[in-house]
Amino acid sequence: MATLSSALNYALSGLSVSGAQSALLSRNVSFAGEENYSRRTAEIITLPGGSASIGGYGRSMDKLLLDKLLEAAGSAAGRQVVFDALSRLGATVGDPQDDGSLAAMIGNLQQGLRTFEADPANNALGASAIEAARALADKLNQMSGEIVAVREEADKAMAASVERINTLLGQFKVVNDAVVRGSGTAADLGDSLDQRDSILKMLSEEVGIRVVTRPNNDISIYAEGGAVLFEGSPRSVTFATTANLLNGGAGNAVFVDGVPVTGPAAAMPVTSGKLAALATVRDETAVLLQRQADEAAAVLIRNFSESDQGGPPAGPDVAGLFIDSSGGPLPLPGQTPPGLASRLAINPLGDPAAGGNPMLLRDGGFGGSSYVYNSTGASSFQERITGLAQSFDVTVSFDPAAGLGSTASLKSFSIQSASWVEAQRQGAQQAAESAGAMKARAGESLLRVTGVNIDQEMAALLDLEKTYQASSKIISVIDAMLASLLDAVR
Amino acid sequence: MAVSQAELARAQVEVQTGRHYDMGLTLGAATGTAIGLRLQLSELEQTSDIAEQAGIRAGVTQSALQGLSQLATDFIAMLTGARGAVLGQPLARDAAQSAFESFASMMNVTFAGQHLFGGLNSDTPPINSYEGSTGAAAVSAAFFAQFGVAQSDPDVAAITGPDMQAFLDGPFADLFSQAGWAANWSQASGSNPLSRISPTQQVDASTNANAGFASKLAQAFTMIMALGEGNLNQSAFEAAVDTALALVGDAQLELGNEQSRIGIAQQRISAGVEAAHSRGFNVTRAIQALESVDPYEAAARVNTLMTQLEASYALTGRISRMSLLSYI
Repeated sequence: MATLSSALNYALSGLSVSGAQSALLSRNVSFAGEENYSRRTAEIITLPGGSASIGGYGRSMDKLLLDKLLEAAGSAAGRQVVFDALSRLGATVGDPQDDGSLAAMIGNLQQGLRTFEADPANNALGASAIEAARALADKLNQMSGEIVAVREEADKAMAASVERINTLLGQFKVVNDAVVRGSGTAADLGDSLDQRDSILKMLSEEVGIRVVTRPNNDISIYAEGGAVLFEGSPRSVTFATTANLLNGGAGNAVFVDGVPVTGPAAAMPVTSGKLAALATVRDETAVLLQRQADEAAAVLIRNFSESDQGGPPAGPDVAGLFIDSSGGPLPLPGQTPPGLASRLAINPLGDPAAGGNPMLLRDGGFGGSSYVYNSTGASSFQERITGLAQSFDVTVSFDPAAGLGSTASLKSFSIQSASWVEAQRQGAQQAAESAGAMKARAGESLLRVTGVNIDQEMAALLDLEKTYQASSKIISVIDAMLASLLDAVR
Repeated sequence: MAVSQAELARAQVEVQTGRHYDMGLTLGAATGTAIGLRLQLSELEQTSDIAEQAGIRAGVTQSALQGLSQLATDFIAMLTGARGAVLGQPLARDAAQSAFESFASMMNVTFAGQHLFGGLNSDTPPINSYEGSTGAAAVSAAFFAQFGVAQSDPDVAAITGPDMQAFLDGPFADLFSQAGWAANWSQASGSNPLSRISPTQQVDASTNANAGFASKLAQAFTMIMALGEGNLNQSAFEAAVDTALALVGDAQLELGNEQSRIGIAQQRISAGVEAAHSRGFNVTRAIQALESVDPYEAAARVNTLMTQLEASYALTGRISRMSLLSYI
């Protein structure tokens, strides 16, 4: 009798175990498509007395693969940001076929001047050369505007990223606390662990992180470079948007616990993730392109400037067709004021649309009567126009800080600038593609360990079904045996 | 699958346009080369246009010079005939007058609104017609200062041949010296506009009214037309005719020199146009080599990608049907 009832107990515990297992299984199946869900397993133990029971829950995870994924996610997100920004900057160059680049505009102006040179008495040709000059000035303004827009957006995106980091760290604290409290108990921590890993994945896209696991499954997060982001409690990440990016200077840095982690002063610099990439775009890539545009504007102003034509020249050189619309002085080599490209304008004295005289281009005299080159007033005076048209091919000095060497002609400088942008963009695309592929592979590897395979679950279900059938069969057999026993004693 | 689709869209555009889908991304650092080549191409096209214009202009100048040369030849023939003829003087005078006017109108020929013989002063007619000009007044003044009578005075018959010769070689010649010419007759500039034949080369394919032939022709015409008004005695007339013949002869030589100088410039211009065309052809080929997609390769890529996509679609369909669920 006692053995019969203990057999019944075994069968019952089998039923409850397979019930719990199938509950777990159906949960696995229902989360099969969820990337951040790790497959759960039940650990079956034998209770004292011999019956089976669920002793705890396991969660498929591979710490190494997760670390790999976090690293890859940071670098992929960062490189994508750089590529996106360069694509916008590259749009200022455009397809060579469309002649929309700075170099093409410079070529246009040179050709306008050459046409004018062939027939210098023709007012209309002068006016059309001035139009080409205006298009060139507009191009530099627009390029500069685009660069500043890219920088400002990067600045705003940094602020958004910092806010997201803080939010994620706050959420992390809640989940991590739950994990620390629950570990060592039999509670099912799977959901909290899933959530914690998914926060880590999101965080790694914003900023490159290193994760260290401590006793009680507590996790500390360090930013790349060593700054502590989370250790028991989240550290404050702060950033103030930069007020003025027009002046070409670097923007504000991001601070973790008061220590800068981006920019030249960073003691523990972060190098991957969106945040670092945005800082690079804002303070390096875009700034370099801005310098190139500014240099081009400065050389334009200098090339078109006029010298005093008096017996002994009395006055200093003055700006000619191209001016700094803020009224700044003639920019000297190596002293280009930042943001000059955004202020480049056509001298209204020569602009027919503003009531000016386009013939000043032929005769000189933007700076007044002592700056007139055409002293005899000859209507086919070519010298000045020839000189101006030639100036684009004359080697002049450029600020090496613009990243394109120290001497070049304006034309070749602008061509190099286009090459520079597109080469950067090409490199960024290749980097972004390979980083994206790395991330995808790391994600797949991790998913192979943590993901749910429905076939596997179904096979397990068949197994469970059989176990359940067997247990039920045992119960019904015991029932029959007990019945016959009871019948016998009646 | 998404990658294949995007790649397919790119390849299709490449097949249609024959060029890379994203030029900057494909060329990278070579983008500058492509831009530079396109700049060079449009520069070459423009220089060849400008040079062609200059060639036409030089042609017009040549035919004007040819006209002047013809005028000189006719004048020599006329003078030679009139020298010893009865009533040679009034005949020569009328012929000289009309020759001066033809001369002035030929010198004032324009091309595209520009005076070809104006030098840099292309907006003013370089030579005025004789009547009422500064030059005419200067001639009268010089004549009166030398001989004490006006040109129209019948007393001019008293002027001897040697006296006339002295006047022609002295005060009269001064009126047509370089300084006298610029002061009394020509509004032209002595410098010529240059014509561009390549981005770096310019040639002088023009001449101007300050060149020697113009002053010599004018001097000869004026000499016959304005001195004495038909009343000179024969020896003075002959002195004038002989001097004029010598001057026109010189002018013809100089005209020939100018014509051959401009002819050489014309050759350089057409060589420049040719060079620009052939360089343009090479640059176009270089651009194509840089920017073009091999159409067969692109088409093959489209096919491969389509096959690949179809395969992935088929696989997706199969896999989605392949589940243990269907069998339990």
